[in-house]
Amino acid sequence: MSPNVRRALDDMWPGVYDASRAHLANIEAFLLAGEAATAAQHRAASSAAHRLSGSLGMFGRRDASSVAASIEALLTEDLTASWPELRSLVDRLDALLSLAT
Amino acid sequence: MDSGSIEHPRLLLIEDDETFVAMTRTILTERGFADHRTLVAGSIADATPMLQAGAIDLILADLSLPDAFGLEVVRECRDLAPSVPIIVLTACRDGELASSALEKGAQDYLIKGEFDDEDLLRAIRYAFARSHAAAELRATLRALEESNRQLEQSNDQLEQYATIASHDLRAPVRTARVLAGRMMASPDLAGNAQSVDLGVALDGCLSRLETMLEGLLDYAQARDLSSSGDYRDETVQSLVDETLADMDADLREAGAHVQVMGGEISLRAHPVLIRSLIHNVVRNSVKYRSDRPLRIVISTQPDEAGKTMLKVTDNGIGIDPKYRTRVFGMFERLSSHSEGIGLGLSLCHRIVSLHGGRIWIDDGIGGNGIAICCTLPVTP
Repeated sequence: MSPNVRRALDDMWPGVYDASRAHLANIEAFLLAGEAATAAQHRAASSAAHRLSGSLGMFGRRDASSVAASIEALLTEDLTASWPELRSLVDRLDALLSLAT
Repeated sequence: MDSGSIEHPRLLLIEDDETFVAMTRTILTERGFADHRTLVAGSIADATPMLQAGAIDLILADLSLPDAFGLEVVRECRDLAPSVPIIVLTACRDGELASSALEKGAQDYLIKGEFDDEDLLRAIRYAFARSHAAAELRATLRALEESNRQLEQSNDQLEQYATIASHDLRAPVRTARVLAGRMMASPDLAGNAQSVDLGVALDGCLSRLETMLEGLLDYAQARDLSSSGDYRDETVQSLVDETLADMDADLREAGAHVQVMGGEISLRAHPVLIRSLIHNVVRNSVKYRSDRPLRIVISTQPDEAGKTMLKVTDNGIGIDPKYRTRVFGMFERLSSHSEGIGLGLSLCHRIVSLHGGRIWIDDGIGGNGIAICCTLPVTP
């Protein structure tokens, strides 16, 4: 990124951080619902992961973007055997976002 | 901003993620794009009126929208604004999807989180440049089509002129021959050897002129006959039999032995034109025969789908390979001593072309003579 663009994006980051937390909350809600999650919760979690993977990278949070992409990929598959992995990825994304405040 | 061809482009960002919209607008504004010229639509439905208004210069589209997903987004944009370049901005890291998006008409594909402002700027610049080149190509093609249309029109007029001229000249030429004959038969001239010689020469000239006019008329009328749509299914055998029956006297005189193989193949063709084609080719074999007893083989063999190859092979004097394409041109004669006027094979070429086929010359029987080969449509 050129320096002026970097600065402008840095100025935007607090708002993006809040939006990212809101997206993460949607994924958490799905995770907490587990097998009882509704299709709407599943869709909301997928959409949130998709958006996080796109926007976080643009703000220089490549690691967080990559974890969000892995969550998105996992959410497209049969989750029966993947709940622990999903939980671990969500925890990791949470930690990375906390580091980025 | 150097966009290649448009100074202040109007961009349409089709994206439903507000964060990404804000970030993209920030990047574009920081890199010199006027913010008020960056329009945003959250769905294809929102984008539709903007694209239909025709004021958009470039589309930046996400592939995951509330009312369209994946390639559907590119397809919708392409349908709504066929000439507006599209850059796909998506979080999908699917290489196959990227290739398909480019095949469907997207100019570029950027993965969210993996591109920076420079990449976006470059993509926009290249998209404009490619779009500009494509528009120029389309304009050139249109101009070419127009020239072609004018050329065809001019050819039609020339052909019409040739038809009328050759048709109308036949009567005075015939009359001139009759008058020349009467003049030579008059008692005053019949006894004068020099006058008789001049009369014979005059008749020869008029006879050639008559042949040439008939050839030109046949050539010009081939297309009229073809466009009359009188195409029928007929076997090669029946077409050949009818043609050879008309040529019986000439073939006997030349001592020709004609053999037909594969005649059961049925052609979907204009019978008058195909008989004219066979007539001209066989007449050439007779005309350019060698000292050997003349053999002519007419055969068919399967060609590409829907076509058969008709081949007329002889053992005549042949044609040097270097002249084998030239002979299909109008008035092309390889020898000034030959009796032809150089229209026979060009008429054959035209008849075959009118049937959507190809014509060419191969070697003849046992290394002597030639084989005239052409592809013609078979009965479906």
